[in-house]
Formats: sequence, structure tokens, C-alpha cells
Amino acid sequence: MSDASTLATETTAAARAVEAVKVYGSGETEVRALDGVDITFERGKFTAIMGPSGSGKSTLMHCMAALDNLTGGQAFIGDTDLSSLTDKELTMLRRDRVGFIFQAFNLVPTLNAIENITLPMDLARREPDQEWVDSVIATVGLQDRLTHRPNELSGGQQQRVAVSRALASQPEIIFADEPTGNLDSRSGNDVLKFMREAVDDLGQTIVMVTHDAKAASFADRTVFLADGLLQGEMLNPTADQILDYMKILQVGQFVKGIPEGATMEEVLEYMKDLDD
Amino acid sequence: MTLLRYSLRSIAGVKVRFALTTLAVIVGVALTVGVLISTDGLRASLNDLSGKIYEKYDFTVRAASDVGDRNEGVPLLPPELADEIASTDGVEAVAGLAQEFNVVAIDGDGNAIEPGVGRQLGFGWPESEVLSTIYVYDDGISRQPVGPDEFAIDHFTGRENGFIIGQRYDVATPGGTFDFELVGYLYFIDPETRVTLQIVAWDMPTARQLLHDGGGYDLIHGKLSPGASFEEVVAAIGGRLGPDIEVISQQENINESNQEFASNINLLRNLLLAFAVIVLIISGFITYNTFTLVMGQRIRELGLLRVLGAERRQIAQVVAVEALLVGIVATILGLGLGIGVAFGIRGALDSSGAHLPDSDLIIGGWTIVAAVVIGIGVTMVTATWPALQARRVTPMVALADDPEIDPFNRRRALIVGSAVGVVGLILLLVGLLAGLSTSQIVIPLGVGALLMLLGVNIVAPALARPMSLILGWPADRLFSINGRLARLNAARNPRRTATTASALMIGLAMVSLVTVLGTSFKQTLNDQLKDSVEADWLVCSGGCNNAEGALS
Ligand SMILES: Nc1ncnc2c1ncn2[C@@H]1O[C@H](COP(=O)(O)OP(=O)(O)O)[C@@H](O)[C@H]1O
Ligand SMILES: [Mg+2]
Repeated sequence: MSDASTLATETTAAARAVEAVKVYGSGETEVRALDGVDITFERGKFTAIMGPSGSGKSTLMHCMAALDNLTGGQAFIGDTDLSSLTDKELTMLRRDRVGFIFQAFNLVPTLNAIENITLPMDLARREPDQEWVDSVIATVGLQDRLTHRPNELSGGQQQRVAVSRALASQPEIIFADEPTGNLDSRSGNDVLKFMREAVDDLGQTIVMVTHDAKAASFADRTVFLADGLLQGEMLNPTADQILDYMKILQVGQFVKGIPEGATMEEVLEYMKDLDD
Repeated sequence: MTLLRYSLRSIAGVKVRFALTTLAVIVGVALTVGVLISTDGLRASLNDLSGKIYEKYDFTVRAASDVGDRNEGVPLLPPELADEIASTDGVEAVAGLAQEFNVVAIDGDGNAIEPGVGRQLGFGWPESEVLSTIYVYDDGISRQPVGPDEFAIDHFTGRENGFIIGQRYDVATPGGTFDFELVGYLYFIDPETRVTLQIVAWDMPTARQLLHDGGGYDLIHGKLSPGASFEEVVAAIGGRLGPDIEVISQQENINESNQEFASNINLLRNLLLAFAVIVLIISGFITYNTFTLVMGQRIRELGLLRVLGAERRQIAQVVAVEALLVGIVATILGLGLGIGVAFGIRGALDSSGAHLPDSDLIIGGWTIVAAVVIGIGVTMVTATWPALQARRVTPMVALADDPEIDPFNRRRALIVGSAVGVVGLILLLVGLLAGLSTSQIVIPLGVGALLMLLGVNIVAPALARPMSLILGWPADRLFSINGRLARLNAARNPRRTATTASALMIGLAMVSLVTVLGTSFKQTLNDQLKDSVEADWLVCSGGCNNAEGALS
């Protein structure tokens, strides 16, 4: 274990998880959302995380982004072991080193777009780098929407505000949990293109959870999670390659998931569920 | 800055709720400020009065026991003493004083006149004009009573009760009821000032006969010759005074009188403040509920702020700043409204029969301090718990399906709430049934009401679910889908429902309380005035003998 961390220190990892375990509840209601995940997110790369619903993707995001604690194992941002930090230090880390984008409810409804974008820096009482903020805003095309409140913006625009906010404070890493999940495909595409540009042009590190193979195809690398465990990964995959890979994983699940002595009808029902 | 903006916009987002909350605090502040301003004014005008009363007396001779609460049994001063003092070097004039309470004139219809809020005083017309505090009312026909068959009555009482100058009336005195001819109206100190006294006066020999059974004086007031010193005169007459008799100076008279006014005014003020405190406690509940509710509604937003790097302290500050803003607004508006309340209290005093001299509007430093401490204090203190709760918001709260900080414990709420409520109820019953006096009753009633409110506040969320399901049933029937949605919505988040409901309930309680207080206000004032202010005012203005000690 200590060998592994020494080794990792020398790489350019922006964040990594070592034997990450997260258990919710206890006794009969115990859920092992993460069951020993080892993963490294490289600096300056766009990583997608895919997997079936309930596979632990969000849990992984939250624990990596210092929003929640692991039950076991370690999570690192750069070289910082999150489990060694106090509550206040975790707050500082969220504020200064990490960005986060949710699927929904990303913005403070009473603040307008620009106030939302500069909020993390305001909380840190830090002057925003105005040039940088302007260039981020220009890239997302929000110049004429800056004084609008969230409820005066479309879903796509809101999500672009959220992405701008994450970028504006230039964090070491941005975690995005299904950022396009609530958007129509055109708005989703805009947001994805924008994140891609942030990685290519600005050198930002982004980790994104998605259900959508097409979204994942924007990433440099796609990792697959199921049952709280890493199942495999692909580098620069196309959407079709991802879908094929998912099918293989699903068959694996399928075989695993059939209860012993199931009738033919039950097997068909189970397959139908998977298709949904 | 953005956080401040966030607080301001959040308040603007629930304007009506915050407006009502602020209003509740404003009322509490205004009542307190009004009470302080009006009692300060009252004190000033009474002090002004005692200055006027004792202006004429350079010294007063009295029984040494004639101090403090001035109970009965203070010995009378022999009339010869007055003559001896009068003949002392340095004394220009001397006037003995005879008076008695519960001397009642009987009007033309044969009815004893009602004391109202005042006291009924029989008085001997001082035999030295320079030392008299009563005067003939200047209406052209009034004159001073002379001889055993004439009396005068103060013009307020006389005119209110249809006493006609020149006619004969019965007057009930300690020596019996006799009839006299009314020869004039009189006034005390100032024709337009009335401190709810009803004065009936005879000439001094008649008064001494009727009131003191021919005995001496209650007090002897004296005036020094020009150039004479108080000390020399005291030294000169000292030998003639027995050990139980003392001489006090004008300043001592004024001080004693002011001191008594002060203690009576404090009594009145504390009673009025008790009302203000009740209102403030209710305001406290309302602000507490509002901040708890608003915090609960925004808990996800607060969680989002935590995700974005807000410290716990900053989240607590959001709540504290909102409380501070409410407090500042309430303080400023409460101070303004308090001046209006002060005029209202003054009006109530006047309408209860006390025509005190007008005084300037006095807004003392302490009044402003009290307004700030109360307005900002009540909101800040009641926002403390919600602010502490806000500190506990974690980033994960932003992501939770049903974000809550404290899982609600229904059983605990029921048990604790009922226990607190029952204790409150017992105290309330004790307060109501134990036959306590007005000032004693305040504590059990106040604490009892406070505990009952607290109990209901704790229990309400536990009952909200069944209640909203039961009470919502008719809505369900009548409004089909909307009613059903409302009912289920109410049942879904019992704590929010209960907080809203109890805010309404407490608001309602406040309205009824203010109404009840309003109606009982005059009565209480009257009792209070009767119990103390005029009695002592009178005692100190005329003499203190035999006054039923209002404070005893
Ligand atoms: N707060 C929680 N309490 C209990 N169980 C949870 C909680 N959050 C997630 N889970 C469970 O953990 C597992 C992983 O959840 P999640 O990380 O949200 O999956 P994903 O994002 O891949 O859909 C699921 O079985 C989910 O029900
Ligand atoms: Mg998820």
C-alpha cells in the first residue's frame, strides 16, 4: 500500500482512489456502493465513468471530490490524502482545488449567472482572475446572459453557467456527475464540446459520469464501473465501441443476475429490464 | 459580498413571511419603547409637579415617623407648635395642614360620588395664603369657604357631578355626614392639572373638627424670612420640638417626593413592560419559527454553498445576517412606532382621569439602548439555534433526496412537548385561580403561557401529519385533486407544515393577546393609578398623615 502511494506521487495524477470502499447503512440495510476501487485520473485528461444505475458512480465522485467520506481506502487530490484532512481543510480543498458539476440543481437560484460563476471565489474572498473569467464566459457564449437568474435561463445555459463556475476558479480537477443527463441532445452536445475545449485548450482535468455512450465518446478515456468495482476501461473509444463494450458487461451482469432455478418467463423479464 | 446579496435576496424571496416576522418584533420593540418614553415623560412631569408643590415651602415640620410608606398612626402635631414656630426669628409664615381620605361628597340626587380612579380627600384650607397649594377657581362666583357651614369642591369633580354653587350638599366625613353650602370651586396647584383627586375643602377650624376630631395638624409648612437660613431656623426651633418631631428642607421634601414618584412609576412601568415582554416572547417564537422554516426550505442551497467551498461559519453567517437585517429594520421602525405607543399610553392615562401637565417627548438614551438590545437581540437570539443547525449542513445535503439535518423524532417530540405544555397549563391555572394581585399574577401567567406555546411548538410537527390528513379530508372531497394534493403535501413534510401552522397559530395568539391586553389595559392602568400614583402624589403634595398606604 505504501509502495503504491509512493509510486503514484511520482506520476502526474490529478486524483486517485486506492482500495476505495464506501458502505451505506449497516446490518440488513447495508449497501456496499464502492467495493475496493483503484483508479487514477491523469492531469489534463478528460475521463468518462460509465456503468449501470446503482453501480457506485456518483458515490465515487462524491468521495473523490471531498463531499463525502470513504468507509475504507484512500482518496487523493494531487498528493493530498482526503482522509487526513479536518473538516475545515476539506472545505478549503473543495473551495480551492476542486470543481463540481451536478446533473441538476447546480446554481443558487437567487444569484444571477455571473454571481454564480464567481461564487466560489467570493466564498474564498479571492479576487477572480477577470481575464480568465471573461475568456471562460466568452467560450461558453454567456456574455449576454450574465445578469439573468437561473430561472431565466434554459437548462443548457444553466449547465454552461455551472461549467463556467467550475472552470472560473481554475481548480486542479473538475468532477461532473451526469452533467448532460437533464439536457436535450443539442444542449448536451454544447456542454460536452465546451468541456472538451477546456481540457484541450486550457489544460483542465475533468472526470465525468455519464449514461450516454455518445457523451463518453468526447472523453480521452472511459472507465466502466459495476457493483462498486472497476470492470475495465477504453482509451479514445467511439460511441459504438462503448456500446459494444457495455453489452459485454451487461451479459456479464445478466449471467450473474439470473436467479438459480428461474423460469424462462423470469429470464425474459430480467432481459427486458436491462433493455430499459 | 455575494453572501450578503444572497441573504438580501433570500429575504426578498419570502417577503411576506419576513415582513410578518419583522412586524412581530416591531410590535415588541414599539411597546417597550412606548412604555419607556411615556414613563420617562410621566416622571418628568411628576417631578415638575413636586417642584411646584414644594416651591412654597421652605421647610416642613412633621412627625419623625411620618416617612416611608406613611401608614396610619402617625401622631398629629399640636396647633400651639405652629404658633411657636411662627414666632421664631427668621420665619415669615407658617401653615398647618389637615387632611383625610375617604371624605365623600353626595350629589344632588343623593348619590355618593364615585371615586373613579382617584381618591377622595377632605382638606383644610391653609390659613396662610403664601403657603397654600389650593386656590379659588376663577369663574367669578367661586369663593373660599368660611365658617362651619361652607365647603368648596375641586372644579373637575364638581362639574362632572353637577354640583351647583350656592346649593347645599351632604358630605360624609370621619366625624359623620353633615350638610354644607357649596360656595365655590377650587383647584390644586394648577387649574388644568388633575391627578385623579377629588378634593373637598373647608376652612381650617372646620376641617380640623371634621377630620381630626378637633385635633392638630398633619404637617406644618413654613416660609423663611428674606435672608434667613434654614439651619439657623432649625437651630432656633429645635429646642421646642419633641424627639419625635423633625424639620426637613424644601430640597428634602422634593427628593422624597421624587423618590416616591420614581418607585410608583417603576411599578407602573414594570407592569406595562410585562405586557411588552409577553409580546416579545411571542415575537421570539415567530422569528424562531421563521428562521427555522426558511433555513429548512433553503437547506439544499446551503448544501450547495458548502459544495462550492463555503465554511460552516459562513453558512451560519447567512442566517445570522438575515436575523441582523430583520433586527435592524425592526429596531428602527419599532423606535418610530414606539413614539406613537407613548402617545397612546399617555392618552389612556388622560382618559382614565389623570390630567398631568404636558411634558416634552423624552427619548432617553436607555430607551434607544433597550430598542437596539431588544430588536436586534430577540432576532439574533432566536436565530441562534437555526444558525447552529445551518452550521451542520454538509455538502451531501445538497444531493440528498429529502434533505434534513435532524431526523425528526416523533415520540420524543410528543413526550417533551406534552410535558412542557402541561407544566405551562398548570402554571396558567395557578395564575388564574390563586387570586393573586395584578403584579403577582404576571409571573405564573407569563411563564405558563410561554411554556404552553413552547409545548405546542414542540408537539405540533408530531401531530401535523394525522391532523393534516384528517382536517384535509373535507378539502379532499370538495376540491378533488387539488385538495388531495394539498393534503398529501401537508402530510409529506410534517415539520414544515407544523412550522407554518404554528407560526399562524402564534400569530393568532398574538392578535388575541393584544386584543385582550388592549381591553384590560385601561382597567389595569386604573387599578395601578389608584393603588399608587395619585395616592402618593397626594400624600406628598399635601401631607402624609393617615393616608392608607397605597404601597403597603
Ligand atoms: N445516501 C445513501 N444511503 C444509502 N444508500 C445509498 C446512498 N447513496 C447511494 N446509495 C446506494 O449506493 C449504491 C450506489 O449508488 P450511486 O453511487 O448513486 O450509483 P450511481 O450513481 O452509479 O447510480 C446504490 O445501491 C444506492 O442505492
Ligand atoms: Mg448517480
